Amino acid sequence: MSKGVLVKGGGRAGVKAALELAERGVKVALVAEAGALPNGHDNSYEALRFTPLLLRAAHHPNINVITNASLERLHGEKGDFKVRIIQHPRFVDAAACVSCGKCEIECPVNVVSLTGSDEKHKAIHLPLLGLKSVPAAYCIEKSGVSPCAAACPAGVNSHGYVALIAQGKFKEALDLITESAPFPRVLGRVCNRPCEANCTRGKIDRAIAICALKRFVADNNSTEVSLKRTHDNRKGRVKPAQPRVAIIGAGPAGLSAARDLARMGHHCTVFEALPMPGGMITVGMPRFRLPREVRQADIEDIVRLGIEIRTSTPIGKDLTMDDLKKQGYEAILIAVGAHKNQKLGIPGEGLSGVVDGVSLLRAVNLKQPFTIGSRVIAIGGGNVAIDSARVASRLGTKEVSIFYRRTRAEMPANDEEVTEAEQEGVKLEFMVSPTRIIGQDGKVTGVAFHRMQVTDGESEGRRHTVPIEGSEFTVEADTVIVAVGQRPDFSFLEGDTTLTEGKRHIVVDQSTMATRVPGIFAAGDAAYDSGPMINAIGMGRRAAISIDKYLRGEPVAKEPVHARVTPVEVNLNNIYIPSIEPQEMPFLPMKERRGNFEEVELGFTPEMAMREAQRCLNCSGCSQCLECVRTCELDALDHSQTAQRYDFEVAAIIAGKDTVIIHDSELITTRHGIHLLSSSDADFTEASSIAAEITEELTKHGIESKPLLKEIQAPAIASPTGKPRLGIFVCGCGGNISDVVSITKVLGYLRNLPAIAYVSGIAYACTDEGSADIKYAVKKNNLSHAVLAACSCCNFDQICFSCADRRILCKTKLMEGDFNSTYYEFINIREHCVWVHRNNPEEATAKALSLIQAGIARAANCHIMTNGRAVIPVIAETKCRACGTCITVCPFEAIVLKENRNGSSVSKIDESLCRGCGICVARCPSGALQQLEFSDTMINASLAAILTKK
Amino acid sequence: MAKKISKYTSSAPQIVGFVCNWSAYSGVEMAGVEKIEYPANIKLVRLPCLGRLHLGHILNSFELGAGGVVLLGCPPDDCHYESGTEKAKEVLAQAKEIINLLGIDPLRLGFIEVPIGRGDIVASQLTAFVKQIEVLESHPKQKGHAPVLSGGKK
Repeated sequence: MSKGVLVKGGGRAGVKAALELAERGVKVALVAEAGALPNGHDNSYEALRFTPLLLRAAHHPNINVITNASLERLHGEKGDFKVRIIQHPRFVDAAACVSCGKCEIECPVNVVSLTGSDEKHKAIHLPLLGLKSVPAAYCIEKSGVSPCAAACPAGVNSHGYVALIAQGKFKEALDLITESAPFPRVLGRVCNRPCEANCTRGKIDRAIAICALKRFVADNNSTEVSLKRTHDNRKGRVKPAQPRVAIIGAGPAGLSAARDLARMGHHCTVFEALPMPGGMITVGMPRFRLPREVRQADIEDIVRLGIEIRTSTPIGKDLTMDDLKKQGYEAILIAVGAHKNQKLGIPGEGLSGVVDGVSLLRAVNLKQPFTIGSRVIAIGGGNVAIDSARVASRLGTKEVSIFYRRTRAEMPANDEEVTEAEQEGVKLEFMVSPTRIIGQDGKVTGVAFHRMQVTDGESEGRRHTVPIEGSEFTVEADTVIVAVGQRPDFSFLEGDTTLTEGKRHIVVDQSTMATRVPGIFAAGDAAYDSGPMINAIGMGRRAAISIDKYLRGEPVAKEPVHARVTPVEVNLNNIYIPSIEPQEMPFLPMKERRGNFEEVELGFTPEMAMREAQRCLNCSGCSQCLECVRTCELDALDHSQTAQRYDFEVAAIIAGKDTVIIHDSELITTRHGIHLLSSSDADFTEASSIAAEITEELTKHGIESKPLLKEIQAPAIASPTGKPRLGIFVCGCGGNISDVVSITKVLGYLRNLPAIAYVSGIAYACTDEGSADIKYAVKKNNLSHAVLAACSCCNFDQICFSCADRRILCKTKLMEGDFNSTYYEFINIREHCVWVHRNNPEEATAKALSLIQAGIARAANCHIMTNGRAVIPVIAETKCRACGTCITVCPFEAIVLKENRNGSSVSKIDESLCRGCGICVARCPSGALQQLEFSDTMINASLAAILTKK
Repeated sequence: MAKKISKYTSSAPQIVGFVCNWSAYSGVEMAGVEKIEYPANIKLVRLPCLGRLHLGHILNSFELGAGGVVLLGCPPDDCHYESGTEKAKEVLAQAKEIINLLGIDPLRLGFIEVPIGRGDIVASQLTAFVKQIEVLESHPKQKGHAPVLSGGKK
């Protein structure tokens, strides 16, 4: 028969039962669903009444408290149950956390919207009773990864930076962005925003403008520090002088890979065919969407990491891939992008006046000469078609039209871009497809189209369209821009199909970006057909991880790295979420757009950014912005924590009536050995009787248990020899105290006092290190009395309503071991001084000093080591006149008159009945009764200390 | 609030508060936890129960120069030791009579009943008590009341 008992749920009654069992010597596993022991949700003040009970349970050596946990499995019979407890992560090391609360101040997430309750707290919080939580450790409410962050192919934590922006932490937001992906300024303008498409707010009114928020922080903050910081993160790896990685193509994929590799300590060379780095972001985007300085700044951030980019160095005839290998490059990443225009495949494409969109945009960006007519037709529905048309409209053409073979809704271009083009006077024709380009004397004069109609079936995920017969019509034009897609130019492979396997792109494993040839990797459009920029960045980053592994000789495992994580599921059915007006992006006025390439979207103001970010619903709770990790001085945060499982063998189970118990995969309500508590609240009679019953049962089976008896320890211990040596320790509580009270001033003043042997400040008195430091100083300086000014307020083992978990820990740590050699006096300068006078630091400092001096006075007047046990009065028999006053006033009938050895009557205190109120002491007319801890001498000494003018 | 409090410089009258360890003390604690401010010239002395308070402690406070003395006790029906508050009120009544005889305004001696955890009550009542002492101090006759017990050792 196993010895232990499992208590699961049952509220306060459950805790009571556990404590009674523990006091009888039974081992108990006390399991709570919440992050702290249950204390009812009724009235938080009334709940304080039960704090002593919870604290006694939490600190009882026989009780193992497991919070944030539930019952996973249950087998066996009465007397021999096998249970498995699953403890969900709290993401905070409960033993290390001192609940100083700094993380809570920094946490940008208010958990309220999706929990369904009115309770509002930060994602990192003290569960249930705040500072009175047992255990007093923070926990993080995090249900997974938010849909927006999960949707990002480059692994950017969009929820995190939106949350930070909502609190006005703009620089922190940018740091978070640049820790994962590069190009924040560019992405903030041209990203296709899978995050916004998955935003939960989008199901209510409109998705958060995540992209515009990214642009806001990227435009208005420096990226420098963050890049340096992340660069320094990888210590211990020496950058080899000889570059080992060659990257072909300095576009988003190539540069992202180069950046990540540089941060991992690898040196790489990037070969770029064009005269400028950046790939499509340099040559494929018009300036009114992406100003030159913007992309320049993003590229410079990457180059600054020590990456060599060789521009105008195409790989091909003069420098082949084999040459690169011969030059010592061990790994090659092909990231050439898709710069080759796809042909329409209709007659007339060779006429003069027919240009392709990519070439047009490149010519504009590289300031190469080109001609454009006055009647322009753009064919296609992607961003290149729209951008080319908008470029043409800015060059003073008479008429610009876009012809697309499907509907507007099916256009791959960004919706905003299409709208902006329309506003700029670009005409759009839908459901039309060109049949031939008409020309005269080798020059374009027009295009013939027919109208299309929808038929059943799909192609490439879109509806299938066919021409309507006899619908042909001609449109006059002198310039035709063809922009129906791009493909990679693999001419440098010289017809070798090992890598492409006959496809339009290089075949890679999408999780590792490795090709079938070891050491050769591919990313971006070269490896995926053509896709959005953020995908290329994601691929570049995945390639960097694989190349790093390859260079270190590790297997490039086919495991999903940065793979799409499953987002949290948000059920909007049962929650009402009010709609919040979205912020509208300010635009450059229409009349200022023609004839120049000024940026059209102007960006948010700080106020707009914050308001927009505040619309976030915080789907996953914690946004993983990691502000807490950066704030915590004790390293108590662990965002990678996972669920823990514990197996127990127990003789009996006590459970709350609402606890779901599944025994051998069968839902049960009663069973031998499982006791259900019907009331979870203040009625403890049931809890006590169940505890008694279980103990009896265990005793019957020979399991030892001891009778429930209040342990009474004798007061008064040896008095210290010689003069007291006093030491003072002042705790800063990690800023909670030291931010208001000037510890330096306090220590300086105390050092000048006579009769003080030692004075010291301490960062956190309740940590292992803090208490070890104090104990060491006490021993080394041979202190007989130590005064600790912190948050604790007594040295008794009696626990009252105002006590807290950390205080008990602090006391136990200080007072364990050589218990009798030092008297500890605790003074609470946190709740009693700092926190109630925090806007008045000078007075708070003066008051703290005065309280400490009262403590010193009390300690100096305590000549007996009474630590923890001196509230029961002692009687000076010579002074007792047996008047019986004490007997009359004692509320507990703890005093009787007895004859002493000399035959005279004196009062006698029954220590098992006395509870230490001290009423008898106050009423004794002859001063025969005295409490050692609250003696009149000590009270008067503290009064004198308090009332001395300084 | 903060501005008003900053008025109480170290020249402000020093006020002693005797606090019962149970409900009243939890109220003092909660005022801290909830960060509700009150004047800094109040200094508290903790007792196991207000019933432990001796008349002498009150008189001693005045003799040592306290501008006011306030007792923070639990509601009588919620006394941890059954009759502590009741006993303290007897002491309070006696003390008022005595200090009146000694020429100290009985308004300088106050009593605040604090239900469990009520930091708001602690803060607001302490602030009110300080104001009351301030009014008394501003009265010419009252200013710097001379402790008459034993000549006073200020």
